[in-house]
Amino acid sequence: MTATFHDDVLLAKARKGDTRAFGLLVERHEASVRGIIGGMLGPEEVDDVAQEVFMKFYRALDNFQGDSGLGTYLGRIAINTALTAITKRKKRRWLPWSKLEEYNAAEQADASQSPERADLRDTLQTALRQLPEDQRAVVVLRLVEGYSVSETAKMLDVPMGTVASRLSRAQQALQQILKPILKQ
Amino acid sequence: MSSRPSENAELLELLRQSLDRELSPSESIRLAQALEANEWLREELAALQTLRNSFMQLHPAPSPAFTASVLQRLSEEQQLLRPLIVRWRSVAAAACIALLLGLGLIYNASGSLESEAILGLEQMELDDVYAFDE
Repeated sequence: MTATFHDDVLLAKARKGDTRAFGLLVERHEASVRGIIGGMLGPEEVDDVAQEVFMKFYRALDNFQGDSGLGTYLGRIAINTALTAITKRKKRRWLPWSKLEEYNAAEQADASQSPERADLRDTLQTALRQLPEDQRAVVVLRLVEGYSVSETAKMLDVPMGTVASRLSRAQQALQQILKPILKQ
Repeated sequence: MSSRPSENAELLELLRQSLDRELSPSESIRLAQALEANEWLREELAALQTLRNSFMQLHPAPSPAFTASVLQRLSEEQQLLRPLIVRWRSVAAAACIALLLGLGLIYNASGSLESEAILGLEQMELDDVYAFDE
């Protein structure tokens, strides 16, 4: 019967320390959170970063006021956590040589994956990574996770027109990157 | 494609935006007419829809193992924090008892809990004041 519980009911129970209720909330929203993280960062770090999103959510359960849906709220935490992880990644590149070599090796391995060999998911993921972060975020939220323009705008804290124009530019770039594959 | 590249670029932009925002009545009419008249624009629309649909494949399948791992991490974190919370409570309780004992001793000695009694000013002699003054 718990599957029919509304998010609000589960949230109230979770706030009282009911970890089973929190588990049900995680179960309900994990695919979306992992989709956002995976789209923004790639598949390597998905589980770790998505776990961090839910831990942040748990530590600040009382901060959720219910102004927007829980999915939108978690989406916002996921996007912000992913952007922080991207910033950390960029900083890491200036750190020790040994680490830098590891990252370069991973990047080279990634780039050497030819579209013929990689499946479509990998190709799309690689194409996504070539977009600037602001455009990648709208593609992930709108096209991968299927949020409405208004929800996407709320999560990114930008006007709806900005979402539409970023999506337009992103699609233009993606069409160029994926032209050979889409024509097949 | 028509011979006016800038107009084509505008139509293409309108087409892309039409998928994510409500067009004004005039924009809608313009786009509808252009779609009817231009094969290339219809092809662009089909390509855009293919592109958008293909990205839906990146949405991951639900993972029960993931939920279990979050709950595991939560339990580990709680186990780590619980002793600190218990220790903090013990320290706070000990501090409260010490404070009550101190106040009880003061009350026992001076029969009052006014600030002068707590600071020990009631037991001061006049000579002590002179001593401070020097």
